[in-house]
Order: sequence, then structure tokens, then C-alpha cells
Amino acid sequence: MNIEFLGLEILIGVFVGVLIAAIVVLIMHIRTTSQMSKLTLPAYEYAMKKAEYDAESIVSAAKKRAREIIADAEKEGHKAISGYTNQAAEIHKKYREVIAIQTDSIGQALHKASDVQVQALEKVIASADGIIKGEQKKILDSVAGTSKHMAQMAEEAQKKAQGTMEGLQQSIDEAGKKIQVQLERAEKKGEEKLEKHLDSLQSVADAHIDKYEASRKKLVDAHIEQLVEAVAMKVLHTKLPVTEHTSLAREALEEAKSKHIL
Amino acid sequence: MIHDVQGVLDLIQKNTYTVGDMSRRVGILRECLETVLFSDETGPVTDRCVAHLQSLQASSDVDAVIAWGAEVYESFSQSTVSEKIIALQKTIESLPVLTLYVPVPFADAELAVVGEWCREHCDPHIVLDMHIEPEVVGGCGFVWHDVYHEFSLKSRMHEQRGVVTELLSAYEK
Repeated sequence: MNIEFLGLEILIGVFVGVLIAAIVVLIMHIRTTSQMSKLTLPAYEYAMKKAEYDAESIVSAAKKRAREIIADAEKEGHKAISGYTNQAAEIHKKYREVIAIQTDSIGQALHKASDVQVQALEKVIASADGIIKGEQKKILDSVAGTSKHMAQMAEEAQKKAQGTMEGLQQSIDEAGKKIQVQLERAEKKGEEKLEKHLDSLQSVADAHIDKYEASRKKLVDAHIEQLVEAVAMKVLHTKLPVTEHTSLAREALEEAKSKHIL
Repeated sequence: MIHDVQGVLDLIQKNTYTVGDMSRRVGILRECLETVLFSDETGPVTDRCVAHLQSLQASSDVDAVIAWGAEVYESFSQSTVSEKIIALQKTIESLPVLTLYVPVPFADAELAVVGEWCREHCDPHIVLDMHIEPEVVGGCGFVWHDVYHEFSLKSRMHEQRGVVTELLSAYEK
């Protein structure tokens, strides 16, 4: 509260100082501007400088005053803060004491209430235990009856299943016999088809083999011819005397002559 | 004495049958004549030529040139040797050529057999251009008037292909 008041006081002080300075500056300005036409230029300048000096002194005085006010305000503020701090510490101490007393009383009250509640709960549990035991017995009886009924049902189901199984086995045997007969038929047909197919494949394979044999024979024949030719060439080239070569060449030329090539 | 180039060429061709031999031997003749005719030595040209040729390294070409004889040497003089040799070379270049492909190199005697046969049956001035071609195997191939003719054993064997396999097939049966 005091801090807020001091802050406002400082602000008002600063505002008043600035306002006074502004008024003084305004009056000086009006005076100088009204004398402008009457005075000579040096007089005007002198007046201007004087006015500026006065204004500056006023402003500095205002600033000084404002600083003083601010310093006073700060001092007052510090005093107020320290006072409030002390007050707060005392209040906090008192509050703690009160809280401790209240806590003790509440704890005692809660203990009492909880004891009462525990006793009541124990009573409820005791009564519930009896109820639960009764319900448990009922359930056990019911389960025993149900299981007996289930056993009877299971026995009946087993008998039925056995009958069904026998019927199914019979059906399976019959179906198996039918399938066997059909398979035998299919097997015979398959064998016939396979034999036909194999026969056709055999004929194709025979044809291929014949072709391969023929081509291979041609290849071998060609190879033999080349071999014979190569051997003959080598033997003739190396073993034949030059005189024989000469006579062969002459015979070749004679043949050419007989054919009128030469 | 022979005065024309053709007469000299006829003598040369008596023991020379191939283009290569003719070129080499005419070169030897030219060198011999230029040495003999332009030397300071005196005496018969033939004797000096034979002596010069005998001083060279012995070869079939030198023997062939010596065998040409005095008629060839004495047909040249100091003033005509150059002109006649050039004319002789030009004449040789114009001779009909039979290009022969044979499987082995022929010796002079064999070349003479073939050359004589060619001059007797084809052209009296023919010269042979010999090539060794082992693929020919036997016989020969030849080029005459810019056309190649194949009379080799190789071509005959190609023509007879199948005979061997026929024989083998018959033997198999």
C-alpha cells in the first residue's frame, strides 16, 4: 500500500517538474518570438541564449529535484519492504503454530473415525464371510449336479459317436471299394494311353536316331575323306621325287593343251 | 656376228626358261660387259668376258652366261652396250609369260624339261614365272592370258571325293 503511494508520489513529482519546465520554456519562447520584430539580431541572439540558459538551469533543477524525490521514495520503499518482511515472518510463524495445532487435532479425529470404520468393516466382513460360504456351497452343489449331467450327456454322445463312426467306417469301406474299382479302370486306360504315347515317342525317337545316324555318318565320311586327302597330300608332297613332280606338271600342261587351254 | 637384240635373246633363251633366271643373268651380262668393255685391258672381248665371269663366285647363273658364248659378247661394243642392254630388257618384258604354281622347287634340268615343252607346244619365246605352292600337291596350276587354270592333284582329289567312303561302305557290307 505504502509502496504504491510512494510510486505515485514520485510520478506526480516528476510530472510537476517537467510541467513547470515546459511552461517556462513556452513563456520564454513567446517572449522571444514577440520581440523578434522589435529587437536587432544580436539582441535576439542574446535573449535566445539567455532563455536557453534559464531553461537548462530550470531543467537541471527539476532533474535534481526529481532525483531527490526518487531517492527519498527508494528509501521509504526499502523501509516499507523491511517492515512488511518482518510482518510476514511473524504471520508465517503464527500460521505454522496454528497449523500444527490443527494437524494434531485432525489426526486424532481421523484416528478415532478410522477405528470406528475398521470395527464396522470387520463386522461387515464377518457377515459377508457367512454369506459367501453359503453361496459357495450352493455353487459346489450346482457344479456337482452339472458335472453329473454332463457325464451322462458325454456318455450318450460317445454312444452316438460310436454309432456314427461305425456307419462312417462302413461308408468309407464302400467308397474305398468304389474308388479302387474306378482306379483300376483308370489305370488300365492310362496304361493303354501310355503305351500308345510311348509307341509314338518311340517312332519319333527312331526317326531322330536315323537322322542323327545319317548326319553323323556324313560327318564321319567327310572327316575320313579329309583325313585320307591330308595323308595323301602329305605323302605326295614329301615322298614324291622332283622328277615325278616335273612329269606330273608336264602331264597337267599336256592335258591343258589337249583341252585347248594353252 | 649377231647385231639385233632378238638374235641375242634367242641365244639367251636356249638355256634360260624363267623370268627370274633371265633377269638375274642379263644383269650379270651387263655388269660383265661394262667391266670388260670399259677397262684398259686389251685382247678379245670373249676371252676377257669369260675370264671375268670365271672370276665371279661360281653359280648356275654364271655358268649359263658363260654358255651363251662369243656371239653374245661380241654383239656388244663400248658404244652400244647400254642401249642394247636396255632394248634387251624391254624385249624380255614383252615376252609371253606362263605363271606356274608347282608344289616343290624345280632344278634347272626340270625347268628345262617344262620350258622346252612349253616352247615347243605353246610359244617359242615363252618364259615361265615359277611359284611354289605346296597346296597344289602334284601337277600344277597356271595362269595363261590372265586366267587361272587348276590342274593340280588337289583339285583332282576334290573331284574324287566320296570314292573313299563308297569303298569303305562297300567293304562294310
